[in-house]
Amino acid sequence: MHSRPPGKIGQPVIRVDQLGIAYETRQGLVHAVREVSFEIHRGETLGLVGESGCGKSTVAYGLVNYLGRNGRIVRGEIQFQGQSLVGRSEEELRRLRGDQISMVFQDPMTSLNPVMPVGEQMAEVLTVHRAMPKDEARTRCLEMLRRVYMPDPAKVLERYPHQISGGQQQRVVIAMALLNNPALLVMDEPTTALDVTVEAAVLDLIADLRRDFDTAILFISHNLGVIARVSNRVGVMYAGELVELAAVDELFADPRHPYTQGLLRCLPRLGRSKASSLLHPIRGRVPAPDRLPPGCVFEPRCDYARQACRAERPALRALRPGHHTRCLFSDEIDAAAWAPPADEGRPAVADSRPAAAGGDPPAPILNVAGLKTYYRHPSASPLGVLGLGQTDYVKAVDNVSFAVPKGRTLGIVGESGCGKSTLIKTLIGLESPSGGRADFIGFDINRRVSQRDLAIIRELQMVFQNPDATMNPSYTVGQQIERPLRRFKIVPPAQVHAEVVRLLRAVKLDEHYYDRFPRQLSGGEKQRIGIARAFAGRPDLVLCDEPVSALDVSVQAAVLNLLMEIQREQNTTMLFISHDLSVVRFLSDDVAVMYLGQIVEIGPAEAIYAPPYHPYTESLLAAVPIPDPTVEQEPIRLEGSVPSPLHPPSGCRFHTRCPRRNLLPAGGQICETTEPPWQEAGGGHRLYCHIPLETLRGLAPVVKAQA
Amino acid sequence: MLVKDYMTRHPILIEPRKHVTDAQRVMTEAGIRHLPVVGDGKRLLGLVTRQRLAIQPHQLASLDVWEITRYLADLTVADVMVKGPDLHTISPDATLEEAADVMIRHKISGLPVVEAPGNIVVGILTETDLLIELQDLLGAVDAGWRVVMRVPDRPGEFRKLVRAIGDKGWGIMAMGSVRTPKDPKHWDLILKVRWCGREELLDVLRGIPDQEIVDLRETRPPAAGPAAG
Amino acid sequence: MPPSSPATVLPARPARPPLAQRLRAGLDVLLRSRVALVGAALVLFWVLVAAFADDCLIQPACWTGSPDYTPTPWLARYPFDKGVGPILGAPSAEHWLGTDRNGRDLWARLAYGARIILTLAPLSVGVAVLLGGALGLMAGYFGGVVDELISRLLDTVIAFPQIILYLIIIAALGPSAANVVLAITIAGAPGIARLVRSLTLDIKTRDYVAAAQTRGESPWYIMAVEILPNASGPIIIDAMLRVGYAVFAIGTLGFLGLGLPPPSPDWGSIVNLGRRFIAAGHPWDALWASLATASLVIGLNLMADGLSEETQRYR
Ligand SMILES: Nc1ncnc2c1ncn2[C@@H]1O[C@H](COP(=O)(O)OP(=O)(O)OP(=O)(O)O)[C@@H](O)[C@H]1O
Ligand code: SF4
Ligand code: SF4
Ligand SMILES: [Mg+2]
Repeated sequence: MHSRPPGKIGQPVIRVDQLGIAYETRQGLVHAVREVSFEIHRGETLGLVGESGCGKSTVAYGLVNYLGRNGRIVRGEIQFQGQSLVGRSEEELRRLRGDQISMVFQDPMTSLNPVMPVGEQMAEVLTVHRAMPKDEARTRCLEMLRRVYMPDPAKVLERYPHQISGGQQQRVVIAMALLNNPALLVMDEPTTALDVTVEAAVLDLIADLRRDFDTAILFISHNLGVIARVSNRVGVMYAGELVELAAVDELFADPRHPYTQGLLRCLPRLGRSKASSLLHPIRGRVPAPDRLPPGCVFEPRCDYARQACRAERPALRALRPGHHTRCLFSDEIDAAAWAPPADEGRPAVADSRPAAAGGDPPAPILNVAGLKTYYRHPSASPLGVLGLGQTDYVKAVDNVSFAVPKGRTLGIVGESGCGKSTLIKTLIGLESPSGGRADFIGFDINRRVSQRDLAIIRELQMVFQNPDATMNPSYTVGQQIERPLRRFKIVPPAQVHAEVVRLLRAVKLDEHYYDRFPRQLSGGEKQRIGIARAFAGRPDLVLCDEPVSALDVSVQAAVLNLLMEIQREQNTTMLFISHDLSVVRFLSDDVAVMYLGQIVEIGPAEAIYAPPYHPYTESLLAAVPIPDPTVEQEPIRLEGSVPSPLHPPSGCRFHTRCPRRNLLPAGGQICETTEPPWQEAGGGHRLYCHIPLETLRGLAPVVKAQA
Repeated sequence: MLVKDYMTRHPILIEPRKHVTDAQRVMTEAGIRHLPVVGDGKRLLGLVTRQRLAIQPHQLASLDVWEITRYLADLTVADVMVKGPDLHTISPDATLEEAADVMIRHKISGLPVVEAPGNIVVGILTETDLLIELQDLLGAVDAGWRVVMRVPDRPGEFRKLVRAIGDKGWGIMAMGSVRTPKDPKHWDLILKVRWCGREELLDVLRGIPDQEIVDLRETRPPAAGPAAG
Repeated sequence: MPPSSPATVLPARPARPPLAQRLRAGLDVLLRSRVALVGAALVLFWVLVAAFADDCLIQPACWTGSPDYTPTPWLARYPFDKGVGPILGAPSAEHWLGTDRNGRDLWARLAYGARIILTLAPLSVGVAVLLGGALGLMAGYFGGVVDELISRLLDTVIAFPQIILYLIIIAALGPSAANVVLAITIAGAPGIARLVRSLTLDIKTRDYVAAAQTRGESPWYIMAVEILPNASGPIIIDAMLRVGYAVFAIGTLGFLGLGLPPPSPDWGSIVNLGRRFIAAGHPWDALWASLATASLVIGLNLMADGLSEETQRYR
């Protein structure tokens, strides 16, 4: 309501000029960050995005000289509120961190003291520094918790950090960071550990706070969608350098640096279906900071590289006011004219669904009916110790039914703790089911893997989430791929080596990798080996548990492409878990949405991503961060966190958080008492809700792309 | 219209132990005239202003050239800052009028905004901020017609005017009233009207009985602020 | 469009057998740590002394005891069990460390004692690692009732102070080399089992173990092939420390007269016998044997410390 243009008046809160940061290592000084310059004004958020190891965190810690024993600022200048931060005494910096600069990290528990109630920790900020009386401090804390939309703040003050959920912990940390009314807030991946729905709420909160408190924010994330949602301006980092810096709309609409363009091409988009596209990964990988190419750091991976790029290191220059890039040819390069390099793989492929319209889908290869997996929960009462008393069960998977036809991919999405992984573990036999039926190619697989036939085991393989744990560090790549080949006798022993090499090639690695140890591989490479190992036995069904969520976008794109290609070649059926709705959309023919151990909606992918939605699916879609600032999403946010699966809510399990209940008569009282019916929306699309389909059909799509 | 809506948040601050030359440099570089001096926890200790940085003549007189240099070299922010009873502050929840009153009464051009308890600095309010408010009040920020009407001092005149414009579906962006200078029987009403043309506006205004059009002109928004690099 | 190549433009690397590669890596770690290097030097010193206590290593005739065997003069100068010099002699050019009450050369006794200790200590720890490792693996991997049973058993053993355990076992079975090994094994295995159990608990949650399970591998395969190699680092370091304790324990047993029967030159008994002559102005027996024990134990400790520090930094 008033006329001051946000942010642009007067001096920036922080100005970083030609910053260089190095770590001392055994190999000598490693220059992790070089020539980084930017400034942030009041009430402005600068997003810093880039792949892992590009120096984002190093910049953040460098600002407050928190670089640990072996890191130090070797060049450049940091001006905070008109005064230099470089070379200030530890004591001065400490005070500054307390009074004017706050930091929020990915893991909220690094900032919270586990043995002190939340309220006391928060109040300490005020009582110690400002000598504020205790009860006054408490009132302030309460007010601040309300400010960050904490449900039931008074109770939260009394709790210990481990007694509140991850999203709430992060809110406490943010509230704590704001208590001092800092001029600069540095946030390093503050939402990376959170579920999409919680993340969305926290991002909203950050945007509100920036406006109300006029704080300058440095927001670091590897997720372009998140960056698009919170930033005013965006800096793209690559291999320790800032390669592009521009206003958020401009950066996404008209990226000028080939790296930025490449990043945007790697991303699966919500709007793209499995049939319509292949992702375009950036080839190669980020160079280690001690092995940089001589010229432009991006040159080895750049599609536009030419002689000049190898000769000199480009400087960050302004293309036009407010848009800077570190590429010699930014003016000429036309991102729209880009075409995938010839060797990148096949053109977009046809839908894997049966082509003929009337053709029956192939017979289901996996049939799951009423599957239940309960974990025994040690009861807290003293009787429980004696085995008496009533045993509680965590209903991780509760009455789940679906069928997967041969050669198709079923994607499973849902918040963490909704039972996705348990479902997969039960199918593969790492957990024993507590009830229901699971049939795989006509065999009953209702038992642990140790009691299954080797023939069944062979047909059912799994790809794991964590690249660092998926391979045994004690054995070479070759040994680990060989093992299933020998165990399942896929090929005669004499041909094992040749087969391993073939598999390595299939996952786009060459035979040199045979003798490598996992520690010599990057995350993406490890994940590929994991895929090769799973597909080695030519299984009929592969279960993938978040196989790309720990990978950088460019690597993720390559791995997704690979999965899709191998699947198509071997006509494998796949179950694919992910919390990322865009990834699921990209890879799946059918999608199931899970909430608290149950499937609430299932159907063909395109049906799930368009109305009629189940209210839970709708909120998920409203929350996904979309890497395009022009896309508008309905502001639907879920309250609270997922209830405990120990005592799931009665009736519809979603009723405690459902934003659409009020569409029903009496505010949806029926949802609390009666389990909803399965409603058929046609084409195999079913959803589990009391709201009549007609009403749901009438709702607007959540995601609106600008024409 | 409260101080907290118009103050500059996160003002540049300085510590009392800092050197006067540091303060001088910071103020020149940032182009500011008031520099709050704070201790631990941003508690306000004093305020450095431009005048305070100039050496007082009576101090100068008693010093010779060498001593001046030394005197300057030893001077800290704590030595020159405004403090004690001369230091005036305002709360973020005070109204702008209150702030203006303090500033006029003590002939000062800026006030640190502090929060009780502990006098924590949360912002600074300067003459510029008050002028911005005036600008906002008079609706100078958006394009439209600036009308000054002279009306008799009696009930109902205000309503007549607003009604006449409101009936047409035009918008009133801003409005203010002062007693006509040197004419206590009349009030001057100033309003900014938009979504209409000059002639139709004139027609309507002329049609209001007993009211006189003093001034009518078109205003445009002030030039955009300095582009930040 | 410039030619693009996948991430495989790596120079051809000669395939090296993994084992050699790993030994090499282990050696690298050792060489990089000063502390470990000092420790290794101390240990190596005693290994050499033990190896060259007699010259059987260089003169095969020594083995057969053939009559034309003449000891190398500068190496194996004296036997450990015959008086060859003055009674209670002080160190001299002839007898570097002096002689004991029977006129036996102390250097020779220490050197032969080193053989005993350097055989018995690693042997007993080795057996303890085998036993404890197996128990720990099973407890950790199977969990549940198996874990409960094994853990209770181990707790019972751990509840006794180690020294009392030694005393009980030796007192019951009589002093002999085999019984010393047995005592140390029984006393040491529970600690190792606990370590291995906790390592196993951690490692078994890794995805590669799940991958092996989903291949239908047997538990024994998983324990031996998937888990054990990844637990070996901490186990080796722990074992090294334990060899140090074992040296100490064997010394203690010898000192208490529960070690090997005389005239066996084990260091503990040397101290025990020598201690009576300290007051008589002949501290040498006790001094040298104590120093020997201490230096070996310190050497092993330094090595373990250095290695663990270095491997930790390595991650
Ligand atoms: N303490 C350290 N000692 C040596 N090198 C380090 C240290 N910390 C970071 N580095 C190196 O500096 C570079 C930048 O790391 P940094 O953590 O800043 O990246 P990042 O962009 O935050 O990555 P991520 O997205 O994974 O958090 C990397 O190559 C990293 O290996
Ligand atoms: S400078 Fe050359 S190599 Fe670097 S990004 Fe630009 S075109 Fe590519
Ligand atoms: S049944 Fe009720 S609570 Fe459940 S999703 Fe539908 S409207 Fe929401
Ligand atoms: Mg980081």
